[in-house]
Amino acid sequence: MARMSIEHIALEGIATAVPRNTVSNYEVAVLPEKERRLFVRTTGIEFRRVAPPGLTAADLCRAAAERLLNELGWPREEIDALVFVSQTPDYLIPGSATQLQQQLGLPSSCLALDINQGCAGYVYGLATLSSLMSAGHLRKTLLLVGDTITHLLSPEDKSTQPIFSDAGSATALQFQPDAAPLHFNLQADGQGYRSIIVPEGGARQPWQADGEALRDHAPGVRRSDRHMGMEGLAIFHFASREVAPNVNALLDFARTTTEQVDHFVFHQANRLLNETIRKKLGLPPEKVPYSLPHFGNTSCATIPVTLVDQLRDQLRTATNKLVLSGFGVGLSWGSALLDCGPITCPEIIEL
Amino acid sequence: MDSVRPSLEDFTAHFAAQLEETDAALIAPETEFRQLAEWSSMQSLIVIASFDWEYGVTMSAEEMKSARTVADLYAIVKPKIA
Repeated sequence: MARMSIEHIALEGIATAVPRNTVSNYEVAVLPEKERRLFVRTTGIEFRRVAPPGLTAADLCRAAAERLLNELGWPREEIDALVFVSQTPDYLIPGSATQLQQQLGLPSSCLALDINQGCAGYVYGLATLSSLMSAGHLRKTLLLVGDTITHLLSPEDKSTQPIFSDAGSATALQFQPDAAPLHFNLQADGQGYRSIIVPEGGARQPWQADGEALRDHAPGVRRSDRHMGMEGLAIFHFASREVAPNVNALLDFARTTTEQVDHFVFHQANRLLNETIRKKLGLPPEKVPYSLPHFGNTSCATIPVTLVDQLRDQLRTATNKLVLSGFGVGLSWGSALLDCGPITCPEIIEL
Repeated sequence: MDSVRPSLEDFTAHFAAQLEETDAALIAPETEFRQLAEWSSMQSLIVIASFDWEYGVTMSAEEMKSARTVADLYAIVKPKIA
């Protein structure tokens, strides 16, 4: 079982960056007019941020990291590791972490690593980087987590187009001998790998000459194999079954009750699914913040976006006991329990 | 625990309550719900979530796709209720 407690690591700051370009789901062309109101009410997603061509997840993460490093006053040469979590890297080869290391002016003594993870990516990234730090006594590190999923969507797919949004984030971690442990419970089930997939363009299904042709999948759902597809019902079934037991097992493992936790920050999938999970865990609404209305589903960035959008004041001024829980593509899911704050947390940056 | 299992009549009423525009009087166990004017893929999600909230039952995509009538849904949900 991948349940673990990581010692000596403190979260020192979080920054997020989103594209300035805002799209309204009240006007989204792919949804028939009569379905828009029901869509917004059910998913909770009113507005989304869509990166123009040329603005990538790495760019958004870099802007967040620049701001965070400046506000923390951390000398660049003291950064020992950079982990970049994304499914929309700048290139198939090479990974983006090394370019980010160079662009941010970090030293060559800093390790740089890409992780291909989506909705559970913030939790997986936090677990990976904090483990590296704890084992290797790394001093200061950056976790960059972001996606521009909108670049992978078919304009004629109503099952994805009004859901996804773009964002990047930077989280600063520091080795501190007296820091409270971070607890994790990570899980995976590759059986559902096709539930969220871009079929074409990888080694298994290389690009085909007619790869751009849109095909009908369902009413209102037309896409090519180069676009990202999502089986909404399958994801709903998976997450409504697996997330609550995962969180409960984490709390048992850490001998913590739901009452002791100040905020439960879930991956922002859609309101219907997230509310189903909240009710299964018996959590009061005031402990479960949502950033869905204004930022939609930003893939791996939803948790830091929600932290900054909804909990910024609390995080800057007090210690908060947080559960973070991500779930989705892979299928992968995982949760973290940590004490967080007071931390450096600038306002959301717009690019 | 039969007391917590809804009758087909109650289940049909619960199903009808999930629809915003369709007159509940028009929903019967034999109603082919996909033929309803307001039915959409979003409605499938709403109904599945309502079964979870109301009866504590999860339903897979395959099970949802296999159902044609409200009574078909009842046949899937009823045995799963604890």
